Amino acid sequence: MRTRRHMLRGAGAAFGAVVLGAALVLPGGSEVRAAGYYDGKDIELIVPYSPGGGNDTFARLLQTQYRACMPEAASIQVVNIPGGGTVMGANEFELLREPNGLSVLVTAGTTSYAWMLGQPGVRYSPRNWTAILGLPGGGVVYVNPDTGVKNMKDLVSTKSELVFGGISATGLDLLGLLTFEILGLDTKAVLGYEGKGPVQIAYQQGEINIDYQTTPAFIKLVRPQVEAGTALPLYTAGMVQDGELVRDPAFPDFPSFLEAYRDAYGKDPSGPAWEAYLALVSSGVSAQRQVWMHKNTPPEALAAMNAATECVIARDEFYEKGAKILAGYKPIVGEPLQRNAKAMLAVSDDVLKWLRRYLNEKYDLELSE
Amino acid sequence: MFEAAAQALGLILQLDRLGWMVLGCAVGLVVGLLPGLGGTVGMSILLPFIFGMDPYSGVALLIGMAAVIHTGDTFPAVLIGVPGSAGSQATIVDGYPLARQGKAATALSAAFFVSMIGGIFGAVVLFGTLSVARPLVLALGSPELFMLAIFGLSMVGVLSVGSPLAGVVSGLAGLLIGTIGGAPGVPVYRYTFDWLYLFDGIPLPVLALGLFAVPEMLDLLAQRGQIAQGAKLTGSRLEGIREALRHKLLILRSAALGSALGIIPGIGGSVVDWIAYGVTKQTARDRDNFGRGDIRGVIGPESANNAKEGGALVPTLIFGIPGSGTTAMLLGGLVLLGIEPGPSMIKENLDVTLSIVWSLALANVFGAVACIVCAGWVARASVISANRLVPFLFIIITVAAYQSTRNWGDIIMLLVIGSVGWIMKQAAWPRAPLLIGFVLSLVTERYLHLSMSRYGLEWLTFPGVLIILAMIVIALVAGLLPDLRRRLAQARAASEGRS
Repeated sequence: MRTRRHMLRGAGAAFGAVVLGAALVLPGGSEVRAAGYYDGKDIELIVPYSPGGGNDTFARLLQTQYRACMPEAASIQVVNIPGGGTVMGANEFELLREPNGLSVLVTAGTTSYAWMLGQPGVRYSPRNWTAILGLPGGGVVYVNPDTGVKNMKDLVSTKSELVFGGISATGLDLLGLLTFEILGLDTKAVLGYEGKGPVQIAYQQGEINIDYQTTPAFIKLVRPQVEAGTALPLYTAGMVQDGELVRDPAFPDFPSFLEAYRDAYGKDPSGPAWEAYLALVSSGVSAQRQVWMHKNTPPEALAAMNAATECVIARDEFYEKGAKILAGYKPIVGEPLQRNAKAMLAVSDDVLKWLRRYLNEKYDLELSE
Repeated sequence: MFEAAAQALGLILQLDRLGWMVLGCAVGLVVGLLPGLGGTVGMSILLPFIFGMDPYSGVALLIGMAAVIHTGDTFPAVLIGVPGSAGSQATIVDGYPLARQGKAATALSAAFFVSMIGGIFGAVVLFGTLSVARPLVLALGSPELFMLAIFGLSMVGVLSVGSPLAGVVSGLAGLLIGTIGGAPGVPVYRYTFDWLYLFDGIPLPVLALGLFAVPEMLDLLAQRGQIAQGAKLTGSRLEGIREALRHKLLILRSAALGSALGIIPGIGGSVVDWIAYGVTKQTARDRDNFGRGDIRGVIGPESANNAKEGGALVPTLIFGIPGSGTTAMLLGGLVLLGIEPGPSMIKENLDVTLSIVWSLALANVFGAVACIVCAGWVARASVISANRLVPFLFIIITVAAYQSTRNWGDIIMLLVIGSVGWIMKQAAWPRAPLLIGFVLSLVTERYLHLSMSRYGLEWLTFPGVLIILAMIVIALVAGLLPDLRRRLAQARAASEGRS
């Protein structure tokens, strides 16, 4: 009896000693930084695409930079959740992640478009999110000089058949398609290519003769053809700034679509197609890649994340390591970012309805109107 | 070009870069070994780590992995009749019967040896075609690519053991199952019954494992035997290599076929080994042993599917068009490393390209040697009693299937497809054509849609299309003729016997 009581007491003392020792030794004791929201926490950057795509590369760049700017966080990981285009990952962020600031979603234009167009399976909404960082990403529409088109006036009056190649009518190609609609062109759209790379090959093969390529692809693949005389750039998608469509900063010498329209018709575009175009540009071009958190994230988390973001975009390494993925564009934060996000969400229901009906009629889709 | 190659070799032959390559090989071998996983899984494992690596090390790591997947995937194909990755399915047809005869070591080492040769051949092809690839790839437009997909599908008739009709129906069923999910080009979803899991279609590993692995496991358990019937191991690794050397021409021919097919974007991929098998069988003098353990049925596909990696890198590097799922992710890896595929790969970035070629060759050698060394010892798994082996394998298969989308759907579909596969096995309905049809479904539909969209019906008269059509007809006739002749002879003999 006595021995057992002794043992228990001994065990209790030992246990107490261990706990006390652990409390003294475990983190919290040594390098104490200003107690932050993210101390010792794990952050995940959710990418709704498979590893290796443009968005994934951007997220990994962010991961390395945020890592440096948030040393108090235990870990910052990129988590790929591919599927359904971009829908699965965004759904999971919306439905299966707590708004505790530990999950961040990195989207591309197609994520916002899928929501705007009411694609089946979409259960997320950017109305429930707050934007943290945005990266613009524009593109250029170019045509094959073999069609005889030399300028915008030629474009709208040409008798040659214009054949456009794209991936789908609900992705970034929609920008190109809408510009043709606004210009009143009668282009044949061949959609279903695996990617814009195969589309570029098709262009070189002569299968298509008018195309829209995003900035990095244009610089790498099309510019040599422009120099060789086999591609003629017509206009950039442009960017929305304070409600106006302005030139793309990556191509200061190319006219924006607005200027190109004026060249062709001598007046400004108007109508539902134009409104829809502006909405699509704010959500898919002015901030093509965006980083979001849930709207009702605790304010301390938001503040900490915003501060870290300011730190990231001030780092030289961000621009050095990210030279290729940033493609010369400057990230946007703070007021301009919020204004852009608001513009995207403020799209009127009429415009959205028009857009969906247009796609359903012209491209035989089944979007819910 | 050659001094650039020598320089690139120097870049690769540094200790730390070789270390990365060996690490990549290790990952690739394990991924190939575990049933159902494929190159895409290996890529997903490695890609997150390479951002920021120097391009030569990063390339050594990724290529080291991609090169040896088709070496390691022979293990499960031969030993348990389960595809280790999409590229080893044809190996099962003759490899597994060899294991059942106790000759696992022979089959394995023959396969590894020819994989190495095929892989090196592929690297040489890659090197040789770098400068001439552009016109080659540009010559293949949507109509031509569609016809090539049909060519792949026509192999269905050749491969049906038994009734060509059953093979065709099975292939068509595969095409239909492949349409589940999103259509190419439009966000229209078919046969999804509003279940989000099916929006991307049935994942290939789930289908392959369900069709082949589950029925095999069930039957093994039911028979209560071991894989090697008679529980004895005959044959040896040396015998395997000797057998392989007896068919030198076959190895080279299959490697050439594999690399050529690998160059075709999208089609090459998972179908190369089937086409190689079909061609091997058709051009063999005595075909009766095929399907029952003819070593040539292992040599042909194994040489081809390693060679195809070299071919698949051609459109990947020069145009940024991936030839398969693995090369698609490799592209992503290159982007992460700051290398942009395109014309720059043969100009400014030639040294990276050539280090890719060398990594491919060296990794194949390393992978083959490592596998041959382990082969004898791993072959003993075929004498373990099924009662002990199958539960373990079943867990691996389930986890591999679940890897596809990490969703309950994977497991549900594995069981559903497994049941269908088992029924097909009992009814002796060919399952291989179903897999071919499934794999080619997206590509076939995409190119048909693009061709019709762009050209109406005009494309039927394109010269490229007509040439490939002629090839299809020749292949079908050559494949079905002997079979037809035999049936006629049998019918004649029967009627003469009666009269």
